[in-house]
Amino acid sequence: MIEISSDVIRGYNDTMILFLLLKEPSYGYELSKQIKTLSDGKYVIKETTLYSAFSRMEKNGYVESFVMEAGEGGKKRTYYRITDAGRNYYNDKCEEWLLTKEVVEQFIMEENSDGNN
Amino acid sequence: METIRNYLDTMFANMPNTPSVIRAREELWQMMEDKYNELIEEGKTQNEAVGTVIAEFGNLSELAEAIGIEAEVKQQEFEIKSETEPKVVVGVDEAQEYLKVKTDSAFKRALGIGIIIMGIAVIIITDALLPGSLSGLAALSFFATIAVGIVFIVQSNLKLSKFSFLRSDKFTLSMDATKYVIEEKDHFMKNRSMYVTIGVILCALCWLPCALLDELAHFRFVDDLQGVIFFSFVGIGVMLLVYQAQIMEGYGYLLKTSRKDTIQASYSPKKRQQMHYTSTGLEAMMSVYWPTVTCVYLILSFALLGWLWTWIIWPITGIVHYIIERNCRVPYEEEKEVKEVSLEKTVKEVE
Repeated sequence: MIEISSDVIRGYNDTMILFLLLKEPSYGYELSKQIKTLSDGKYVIKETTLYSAFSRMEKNGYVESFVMEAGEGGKKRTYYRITDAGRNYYNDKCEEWLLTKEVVEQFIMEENSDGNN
Repeated sequence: METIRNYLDTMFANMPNTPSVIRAREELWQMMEDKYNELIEEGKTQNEAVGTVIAEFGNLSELAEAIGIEAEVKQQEFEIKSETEPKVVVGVDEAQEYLKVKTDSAFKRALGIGIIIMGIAVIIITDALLPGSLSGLAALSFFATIAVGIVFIVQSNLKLSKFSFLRSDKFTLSMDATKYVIEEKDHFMKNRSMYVTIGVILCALCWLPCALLDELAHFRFVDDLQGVIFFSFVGIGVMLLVYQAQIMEGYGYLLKTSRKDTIQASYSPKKRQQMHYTSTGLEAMMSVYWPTVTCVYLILSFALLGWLWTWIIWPITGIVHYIIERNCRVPYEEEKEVKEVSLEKTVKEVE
């Protein structure tokens, strides 16, 4: 079975996280679970990948972190929320992806897609 | 859960102890714990859950740039490549067991050495009490005492062999265990200074009762009594010194792999400030201060037979030591922390 190449998807981890944060602030495991569900189990983000994305985006001002106690058992977790700069960045990334997709697709042969589904 | 904790601890053990690294470790732990709990709820076995969590963890090199640990990660990867055996993680239970065995062994070894020294006292006593014709028996009692001493020393090593891997650096102390050992050590340090003080006083003043007896008492066995007291003082003094040194060695072995500036060693309840002397010449001199004083004391005392007045060396050198410590010793400047704080400040300003 073909797996997703981490090199290709690396540039879009931020996009996925920001998309999920658009709805509501969230924390590490919750986000990784949503990414897995939304991708239908085809992409599992590693903990270290997720954290380095958080850390990078926080430095760039795209997200903000805050500590909040979760309901069950009152466990303290670090939550992230998206900033305005993050929204702009997300929109840019979406446009970038559409362009990338458009270009790359010109070079993809249709018949190859049969084998995988 | 313990396995995951140990896995994370081992990964981070040699990383620098900076706020960003500590935070990364905390958050990764949150995520791993959440994932583990959910897998268990889904009905996975503990082994399956641990396997999944570790397989999906990723690797530190991915984090390296984000949290400023590039150099350490490279070093770690190099070590993993060149290392054939994986490092053993020592947990709280094992550390606790080791310290118990080591204390037991320290006691037996100290007792063994003390008994051998006091064997001379035994021969004096038996020689004095037995009539001359039985002097062979006195010698026998001496060897018997030495044999008992040796049995204790041999015994002291038996249980320790299980922990011989602690002598190498093929192990890491888990974070909780490090915290435990440092607390135990701090606790022991209080008793230790008492052992050392009494031990040194007994060894240094072993002649005093003899000298006093010489002046004051005149009865039949006074010479023998002097010998017995002398060797008993030395024996007990050495016993105390050996005992504390052996226990300190145990702490030393356990904490050997925990470097001061890494995550692992940051769990000391109170951080001690690292001190240094103002000049390197002084640094070298002070490192041999007490051994030199001891040598001078012994040489003067033996050469001039001046036991009655040479003790004055101790208070004098003690005061000199205090003055030097007070005036020429300063804490290291904490450059690292200052840098970190200013970095955080700039980040906040940018935001």
